[in-house]
This record gives sequence, C-alpha cells and structure tokens, in this order.
Amino acid sequence: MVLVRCVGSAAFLIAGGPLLGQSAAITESESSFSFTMNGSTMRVTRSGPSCPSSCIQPMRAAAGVETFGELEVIDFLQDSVSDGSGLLIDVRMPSTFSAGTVPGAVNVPVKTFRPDNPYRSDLLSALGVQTPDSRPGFADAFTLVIFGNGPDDADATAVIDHLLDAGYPAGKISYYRGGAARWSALGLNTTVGQ
Amino acid sequence: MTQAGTHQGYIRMALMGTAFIGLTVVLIVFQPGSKRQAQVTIVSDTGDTSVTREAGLLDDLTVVTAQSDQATPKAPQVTPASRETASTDGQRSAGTVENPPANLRDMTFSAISQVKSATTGQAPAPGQPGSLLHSVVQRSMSTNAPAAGQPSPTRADALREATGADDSPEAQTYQVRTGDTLVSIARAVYGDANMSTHLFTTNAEIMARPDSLTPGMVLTLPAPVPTTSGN
Repeated sequence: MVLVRCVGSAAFLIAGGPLLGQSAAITESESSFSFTMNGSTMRVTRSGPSCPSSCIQPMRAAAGVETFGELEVIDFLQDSVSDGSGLLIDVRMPSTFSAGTVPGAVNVPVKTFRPDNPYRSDLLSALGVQTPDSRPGFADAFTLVIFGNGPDDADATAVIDHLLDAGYPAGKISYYRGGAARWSALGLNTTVGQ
Repeated sequence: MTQAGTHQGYIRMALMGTAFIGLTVVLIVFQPGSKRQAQVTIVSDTGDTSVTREAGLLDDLTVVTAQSDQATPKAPQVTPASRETASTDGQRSAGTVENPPANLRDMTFSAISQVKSATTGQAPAPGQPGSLLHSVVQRSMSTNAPAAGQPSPTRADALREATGADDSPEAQTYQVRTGDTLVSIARAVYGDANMSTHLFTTNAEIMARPDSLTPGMVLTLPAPVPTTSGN
C-alpha cells in the first residue's frame, strides 16, 4: 500500500513536474495551491502573468498599515492631501508614471526608498522627517498612501517595508492595493504625471 | 700637351662619375642578392592585407547599404521596423549603461522636487533644503565633522534648530575648515552674513583679526541676534 502510494506520488511528480513548471507562480514561494472540499481535491493555479515580475500581494502589507480601496483613496485625497498633511505616492518608474496616474499622485520610485540609496535621507526629509540621519522625528512627517501598478506589484509593499525599516510609523502609512491598474480598470480618470 | 692631358683627365673624371652614378642607381634600384627585397615584399604583403581588410569592411558596408537600399523598395515595411527596433534597442542599451550611477540620484531629486512642489507649491531652488546643491553641501559638512572627531553638532540644520530652540547656545562650537571665512560661517550657521561681527566679537580672544582663521580652530558660536535681516 505504501509502495503504491510512493509509486503514485512519484508518477504525480513526474507527470506534474512539467505542469508545475509551466504554470505561473502566484506568490514568491507558491506556484499553486490545493485544498479539499467535501473530500475532493481542488487546485488554484495561475496562467498568464508569472510571479517573479507580478507576485500577488497580501491584503495587509504590514502590521499596522491600513489597506485602502478606491473610495478611501478619494477620501484621503479630499482630506489629507487637500489640507497638506498627506501624500499619495506612486512608486512606479517615472516612465510609467508619466503615462498616467491617479490624480494628485506624486512619483517617488521604489529604488529611491532602498537603504542603499545615498540620497534617501534627503528624500525622507522632503517627506517631513526631521533629522533622518541621527534621530529621526516623524511628528511632522506626511501621511502616506503607497500604491504601485496593481495588486500584483511587489514594489508598493517593498516601499512600505523600507519605510517601516527607516522608522516611519505604521500609522502614517496606508496601502492602496489596487494600484494604478485597478484605478483605471474601474474607469476612474487618470492624469498625466509631470 | 698639358692642356690635352687635363682635357683627358676631365673626360675620365666625367666618365667615371657617370659610371659611378649609373652603377649606384642600378644597385639602388635592383639591389641584387639582398634579402631586404623579400622582407619588403612581406611588409608590402601585410600592408596589402590590412588595406584589403579595411577595403573589405568598407565593401561589405557598401554592399549592405546597397542591399538594404535595394531591399527597401521590395519590402518597405519590414526594414524600417527592423531599423526602429534596432534604434530602440540601442537606446535601451545606452539607457541601461547610463542608468545605475546618475539615474538614482536624478530620480531621487526629481522625486524630492515633486514632493516639494506638491507640498509647498514650488520646487526647491538651488541651495535650498531639498535641492541637490544643499544635499551635497550638507553631505560634505557631515562627512568632515566625524573626521574631525567633534561630537558637537556642526551641521547647519541641527544648529539652526538648536539655536532656534535656544537650549544652550553658548555650548555650540564650530570647527573651522579650509576655505571658511567669518561671513561664510555666519551664512552657513545662522543664514545671516551680519552675524559675522558677533562671531568675531565672541571669539575675539582667539582671533587677532577677522580674517585670522586657521583650519581646525574651534569657534564659539554666539546666540543668534536678530540683525537687520533676522533668521
């Protein structure tokens, strides 16, 4: 019986190996998910875009970081951005940003948030962080809403991780998971980034 | 008789001279039995091959352009497309070559200027906080300060905040670097060139004249006094 199972699993591996190799990866670690429902095994696979470039991101980017939908983003634009305490940040590359973005968004690419950027402290001070080199003070720092290309863009969550590593309080960061792709897919207007 | 002898002598000299010159010319031209002739031919051969190579390249190029010129009327949509892809590929490769060193800096400061223009309504002017010049100045100052082993804050921003908060302004010091003047220090620390006189009066015991600054000298910074153009 055990031998049969072993042979069966080996046959599945041999037969499924190419299948798994062909199927698109969903997250960084998983290429497919399986579950049982009423005793029968079902699988979640993905075709088309593949993970190393488009990894599906979780709903919560990090602990304490709120996730926004489109209506919350519009509220944020009307409240925080209007009174000058908030910034909607597009982390895509400048070429993509200039093709069209959410109205009011500011382009700060993901590369500039990396710790190896020697000018990151200047960027953080532009975001309102006091003395980002020695003792960073985040009292006057802007409330940020971070978005990337879409729910499959790991850059936005990477930026949130970089900001949290720099000491940025999680309460001042929010994550618009839909990103520019979902914004325009819903028919909402975009503006040409300058 | 003697005249005939001298005539004969002249004729002999002329004949021998022409024979000498003729033989020399013949030897120079033909060079019988010398191996330099073979070397010369080898050199000329290699020279010929190198020349023919260049000529071959040029011929190939001309052939290619001639072919493409001949091909364009036959398939006018294909060759321009291939040329466009080639040009875009070239631009891409050039872009990736240029990208890593300068682009991150440019990207960061364009992002900073966007953030500044989005928050304050105007991009930072050169030299103001947020501009590349200000960053370079701050960076050079902050990299010099730890090298001097001076723990007290010498950065202009920190000083400006400290003097603005007027906790203990008399504790602030400034270490003089090469190229500093009292006016430049006053402008960097207080943002006010008029503070140079206060700076001199405060440090009068260590400074004989206002221009007697030596690198490494530690100046005591006076409390900021609202002068004509206050900070």
